[in-house]
Amino acid sequence: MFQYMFKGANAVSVGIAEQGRQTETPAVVVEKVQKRYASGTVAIRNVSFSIKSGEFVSLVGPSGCGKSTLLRMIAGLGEASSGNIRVYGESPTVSHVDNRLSFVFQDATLMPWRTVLPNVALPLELAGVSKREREQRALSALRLVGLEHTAKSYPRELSGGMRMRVSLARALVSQPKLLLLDEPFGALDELTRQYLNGELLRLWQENALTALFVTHNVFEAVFLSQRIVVMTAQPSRIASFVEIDAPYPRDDAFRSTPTFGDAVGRVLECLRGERGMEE
Amino acid sequence: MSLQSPLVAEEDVSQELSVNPPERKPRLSERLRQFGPPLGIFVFVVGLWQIFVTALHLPVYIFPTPSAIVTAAIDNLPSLLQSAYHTFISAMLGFLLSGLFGVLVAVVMSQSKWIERSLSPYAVVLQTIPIVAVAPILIVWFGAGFTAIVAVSFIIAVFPVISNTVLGLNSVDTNLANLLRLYHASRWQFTWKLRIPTALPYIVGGLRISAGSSLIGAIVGEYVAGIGGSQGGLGYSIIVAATQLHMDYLFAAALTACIMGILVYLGVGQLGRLLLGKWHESSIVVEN
Repeated sequence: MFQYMFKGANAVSVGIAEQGRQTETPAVVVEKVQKRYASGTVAIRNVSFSIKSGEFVSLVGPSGCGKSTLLRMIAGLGEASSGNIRVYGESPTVSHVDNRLSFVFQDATLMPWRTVLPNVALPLELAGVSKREREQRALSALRLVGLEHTAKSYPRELSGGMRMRVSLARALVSQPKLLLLDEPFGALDELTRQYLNGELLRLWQENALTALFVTHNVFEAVFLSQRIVVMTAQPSRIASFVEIDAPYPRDDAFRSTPTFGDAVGRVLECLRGERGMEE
Repeated sequence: MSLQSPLVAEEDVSQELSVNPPERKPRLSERLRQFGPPLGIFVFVVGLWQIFVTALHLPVYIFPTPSAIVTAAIDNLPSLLQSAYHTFISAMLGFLLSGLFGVLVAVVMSQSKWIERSLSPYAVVLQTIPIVAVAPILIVWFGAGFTAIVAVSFIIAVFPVISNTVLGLNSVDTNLANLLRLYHASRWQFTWKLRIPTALPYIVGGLRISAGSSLIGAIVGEYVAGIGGSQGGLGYSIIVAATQLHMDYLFAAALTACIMGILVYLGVGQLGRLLLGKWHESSIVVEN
């Protein structure tokens, strides 16, 4: 139950851990997963991919392609109708797996009746960590996102971007290995979004995280990811994988390089191509 | 109208200025703007009432003038205050019990759909019960006194608390619920850390309604208990005044109940502000 509290020292592998591929258990394995609702609608049809430890992967597709549903299933919120999902080799519903993963929601999902600090400390509070320790750790998580000074503010007193950073701090407070993000910056303006994209990459590298990022924004996906899984809607399946061959750290200048434009083009092509086949 | 216009002009300026600093104490002119119109209506209606009743020479036992009511209130002040005090104590006890019991029942109901479905019809029965029919039964059971009066007050006041609290407990944000599931929150943690805080604004709303209802309940209880209700109370005073055709005193008693209702309502509003503090919209936005 509490083992995740004491880890964090094993953060050796950084970002592009190509050589670790054979030895390490993949962070996420999705195998022939289908999701059929009770109504009979098929939300996801036969999807397979895997994510190596330390990788940054984005899941891109039009709305309604089931990408959020898939992400929730990986988090253990909802089960697949058939197929297999493994997180660090175990079923996502196994409780101690959850201590290794954190989920960032579409909106900041903060408790409006709590100030920032207890909001960030919530995961530790639920795990029974003592008040003193969890406040200390929440404060250092806030320091990671540069929002120490807001510890005593209420969420409503913060801007949308700041609230999202608090949400990131809360996700990091339990020192997870895997970060699942469900269109976290969708509601923000473009400049804030770009700033937070940079922040997210920094946090990913500094904390040796594995990240699975769901978005419908192709530019955002290309900026962040090593690999993009392109999904299609109706029937919902994987159209292709696009590798982004650019080194980290990436900064704003990356957005104006030919590599960036080329990758955006390839992803868009996959999305358009699939749509063309449909109609 | 011409008397008020310079005042209005002054207020408009202060309104303009108040846009910049968002949170501060309202100024005197703003208070006037807030309370001025209802006060104006009051003065107008009471004035009209006084003039008409005097002009038509209506006897006091049919329709007393406002001045007669005030005189009756002042003449009988000790007994009026005594009655008001008894009613207040019974009503507040009924209110307190309905608040505690209402929230408790709602929390139990929210634990499973099954419990909610089994209990909610009976909560509705509490609301639809004709209290005038039940009050005599309660008097028979508990005797024509304090206990029966508190029971009537409780029965009337408890439903708004239950129904609002249930609504609030079920209004939990889906993502926050998912977040708690993700971290394996226990049922206890779910209730205490998510459901009850979410329900708090709804509970305060329920208490506001229930506060007024508890007063009505207490007065109805006293009314039915009648002469047997040894302690008196406003309901009792109303019966006595009605049978003796002391309409001026009857009005005074009814108005006392109104004023008490307003005070209790304001008190619950204050309690709400205390509970919801700095986070909920209802207590942040300055009402005007």
